[in-house]
Order: sequence, then C-alpha cells, then structure tokens
Amino acid sequence: MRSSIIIFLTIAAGIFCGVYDLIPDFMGNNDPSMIILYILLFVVGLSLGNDTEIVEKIKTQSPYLIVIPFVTIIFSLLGVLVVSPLVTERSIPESLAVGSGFAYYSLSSVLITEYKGADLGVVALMSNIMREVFVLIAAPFLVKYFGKIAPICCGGATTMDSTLPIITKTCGNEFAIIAIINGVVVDFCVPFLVTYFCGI
Amino acid sequence: MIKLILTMLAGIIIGKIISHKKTTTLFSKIIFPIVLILLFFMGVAIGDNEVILNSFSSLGMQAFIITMGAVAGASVGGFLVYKLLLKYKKIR
Repeated sequence: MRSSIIIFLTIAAGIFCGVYDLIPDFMGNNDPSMIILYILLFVVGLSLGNDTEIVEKIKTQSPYLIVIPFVTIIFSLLGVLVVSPLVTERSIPESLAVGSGFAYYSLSSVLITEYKGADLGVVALMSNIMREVFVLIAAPFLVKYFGKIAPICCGGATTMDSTLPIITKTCGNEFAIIAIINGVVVDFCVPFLVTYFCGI
Repeated sequence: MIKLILTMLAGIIIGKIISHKKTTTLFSKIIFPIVLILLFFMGVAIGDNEVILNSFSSLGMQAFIITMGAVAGASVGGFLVYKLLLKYKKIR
C-alpha cells in the first residue's frame, strides 16, 4: 500500500514538472530513460537469476500446478485478442502489449512508454491498475462463479505481492503457494512479452 | 528490442553465478527506486503532451476494454483449469 502511494506521487510529480515545463527538453534526443531502462532490466535479471529459493519451491509442488501461470498468460491474451477490435484506436499487437502487463503496471507502462510513446504508456498504466483493483474488489465473486483458480489467473503478476492477501483470504491458505508461483512466473514473462508485442 | 532482452538474460546469468541470499534482497530493493525514476520521466512525458492530457477519457476507455478482455479470458482459463484439477483430484 505504501509503495502504491509512492508510485502515484512520483507519477504526479512527473506530470506536474511536464505540464509546467520545469524540466526543459528532457524527453528530447538525449533521453536518459532508455539507459535507465537497460539498467532496470539488467537488475531485474540479476534478481531473477539470484533467487534460487523460487526454483526449489516450485520443485516441491505438484507438477500440474505449473500450468496455472501459462493458463494465466494464454487466456488473458486470448481475452485481449477477442476485445481488441473494439479498441479501434490501437493495433492488435498494441492492445496485446498492454494486456501483457498482467497487472504489473509500473514495469509494463515504462516499457511501453519507451517503445510506443507516452499515450499507449498511459493506457498500459490505467489498464494494469484497473486489473489489480478488479482482483482486489472482485475476488469473492470470481471464486463463487469461476472457482478458486480464477482470482489467481486474473491477478497475473501481482499474485505474489499486492493481491496475495485477498487470494489467501478468499481461496484459502493452501492456494498461497500456487499464487506465489503464478506471480513469479508471470512476472518473469512480462518484460519479454511486452517488448515482443511492441516489436511487431 | 532484442538488446533489451539480451541485457536481461545477461543479468540472469550473472545473477546465477553470484547467487547469495543477501544479494537477492539487495537487488530487489534497487529495482523499486529505478522504476520510480522511470515513472517520473513517464509523468514528465504525459504532462508535456497536451494530446494525452486532453484525451484521458478516451485512453481510459481503451484501458477499460483491454482490462475487461484480459480478466474475462483469465477467468475462463481459471475456471477450466480448476475443473480439470478437481476432476483429476490434484487440488481439493
């Protein structure tokens, strides 16, 4: 919760500086954020490669449960594919790039801003925030009508942190480890899928 | 595009080599401030762009449609896998 507030304040501060031109020509040709993005992805890689405990955790689970993150990814993107003709302003790959955030709004929106510009970045930011908020609100409804895996699939990359409490509350504690594995695997795929769909 | 993915893969490989409990928490702690810097620049780009500022409702609608598609798809997927896992008694 505290980190969400910091994130919103940071974006608001940026918008403020942009509106009142407090940072002259910052997004010009010498854009520093591309270099920072490389540093970010390098550090994301470092932390992923470093974390051996996750692999051990996954090994101790039933092998059938590893399908869940892939169901999350494939069915989310299928859903986006179905509705993408309704988003007439955007091409199908652009909609899929936004959908590939899987509620990981901070990383997906900065990636998309770099590759496709700030307007699609804003769509990604709003869409992925909506997805997280949707899970926080609708988790009991999802369990009732779609079963105990649905909130985990809807939560996407957030099921190991921000939506984990609501998932364990509505699905039961035995689903915590499934949620964590889902979150880790989906989280890992976000940068790859977003850059892939921005490239086509 | 490919350079970005290679950068991340390089990170993963180096991360594996220097694997240690303390560094894991260190790395995950650095990620957040870096993301914040980028979000700040994204904010600047948004504030600098009048087209974006004037089309927030349209952008919000696009975001809403994409979100609904994604969660509808994910719910169907979750439903199918739940029924399958129940049928073969892999979960309770």
